[in-house]
Amino acid sequence: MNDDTYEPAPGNPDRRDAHEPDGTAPLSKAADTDDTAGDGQGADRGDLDHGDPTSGDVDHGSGHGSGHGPDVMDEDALRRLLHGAVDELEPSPQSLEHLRRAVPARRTRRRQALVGAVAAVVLGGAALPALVHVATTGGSDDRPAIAGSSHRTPGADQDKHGEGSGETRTPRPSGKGGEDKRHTGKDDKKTDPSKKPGGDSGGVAPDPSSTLNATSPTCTRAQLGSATGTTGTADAEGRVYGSFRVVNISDTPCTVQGGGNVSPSPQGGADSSRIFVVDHTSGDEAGGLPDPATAPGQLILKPGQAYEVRFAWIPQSGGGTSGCSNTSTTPPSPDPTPDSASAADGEPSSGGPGDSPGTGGDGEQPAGSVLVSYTPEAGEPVAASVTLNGACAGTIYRTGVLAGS
Amino acid sequence: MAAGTTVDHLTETYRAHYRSLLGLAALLLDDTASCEDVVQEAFIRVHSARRRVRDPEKTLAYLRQTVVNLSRSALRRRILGLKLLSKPMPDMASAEEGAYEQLERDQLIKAMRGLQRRQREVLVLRYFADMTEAQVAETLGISLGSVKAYGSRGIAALRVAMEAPA
Repeated sequence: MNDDTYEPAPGNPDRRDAHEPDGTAPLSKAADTDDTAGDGQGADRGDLDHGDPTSGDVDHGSGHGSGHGPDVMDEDALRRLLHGAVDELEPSPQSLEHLRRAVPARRTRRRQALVGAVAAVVLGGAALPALVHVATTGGSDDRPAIAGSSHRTPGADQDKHGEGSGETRTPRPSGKGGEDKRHTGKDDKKTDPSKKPGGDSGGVAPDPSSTLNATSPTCTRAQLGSATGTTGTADAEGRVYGSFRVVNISDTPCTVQGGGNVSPSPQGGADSSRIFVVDHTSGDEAGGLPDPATAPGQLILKPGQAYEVRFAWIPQSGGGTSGCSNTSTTPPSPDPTPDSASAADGEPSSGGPGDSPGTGGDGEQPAGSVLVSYTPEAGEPVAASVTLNGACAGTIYRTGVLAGS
Repeated sequence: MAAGTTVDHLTETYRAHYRSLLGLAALLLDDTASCEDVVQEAFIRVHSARRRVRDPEKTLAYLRQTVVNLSRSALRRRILGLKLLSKPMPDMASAEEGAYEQLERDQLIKAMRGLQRRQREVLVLRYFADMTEAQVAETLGISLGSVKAYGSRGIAALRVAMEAPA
């Protein structure tokens, strides 16, 4: 296997028979370029040395002379010629360095590709039961199960599964079709067929809103307006439920893409480092919010229709009703008031801590409030805001896009 | 296998075989521009698959096999490219490419490039890589008889090419 050993191997039948049929004619040029001091026997081949600059050492001779058979010389000469031809080749100076970097990099890529493939299979396996679950539980509200496709639900749990089944954000009919087909296949056995008329017709969703889906463009920010924010009253533990409502103010139907952004901005004594916004998942503290599994995968708004994003303010546990009271005094109950400016599209509420009810005279309770603003996925500006008075530290649980009532 | 071991193995293989593989590629390919690319890619492929380097005995065989395969696909790509536009050889900028330039003018190389691909592969593996006919057959995925036939026809064609005035 060593490239440098190329013995003539005279009499090696294995090598001879490679060209035995025409063994009578020598490989003349091969002998010609042999640089062994020759005996002049090859003088008649001088015409072959036609100006090749690399063969300056050709001396028209063959060191092997006529003692060898022509076959052997052919192979041997070819061997030497081949080696001689590429003998000058040197690796470029940085080639080893390059390999040292490239091999681990390639190895990492291979591993990632492998892990990715395994993950896809695992998630794919996990997504199927999840879809079935969604389909069956989706019947609790009036939405057909078909619209409860999991891939747009905001819950972290659902999102995970959604990845496995391909996150179809764009309303491509083909992509939807595939998803729906799988869906209907399961639904037909498990859900009331009356909810899905024609559910098996080629996987096309029978729900009118779903059929709109194929043609409805994404809602632009300009199409969304008349936004309002509302909050309920706080319960004994300071929990407040509220919602934002955004209307399609254009005269064409459009598809709501993405849940938008719910962002808190602490006012007064509220503690910005202890206010969090998380997606609502079933089983979390915000039990009053609808189960993410029932959320529509995608929502088409006809002109005048509205969507909602609901949220819950849960004060930090142990912090009283505001979330950051650490005294035994009873802090004032948060008194959320819908922001007066909230209906003005694009004008963030200026509701501030001044609205908050008196915080008592103990002075230990920071007078805080949290301004919660909602910006649609389509972009700025803020659509609506509400102020949670008396809120200080806690978590905002939010839903995705829900059909407006 | 620890990372350090494989890096050492890489260096070791590089020192032992890189040059000869470069020659192999140069003889198989019909241009010298992609020799280094092909050998680099072969090294990367073989060494990034751990199970392939677990048996150092077989590393050279894997490397050669990969160089042969890559040379073929490089050839195929080039044939396709030539059909679209006949572009000149890329300029060899650096001084170290002098060897490649020389190679371009080498009579034998010219003759080799005139051979059928299979003939050239057999001759190169047989007489440059010093494989046995059985090994050549295995590497190229052809029968032993084919190796013999391609070999003898290749030598005959080479002889004709070398004797003909350039």
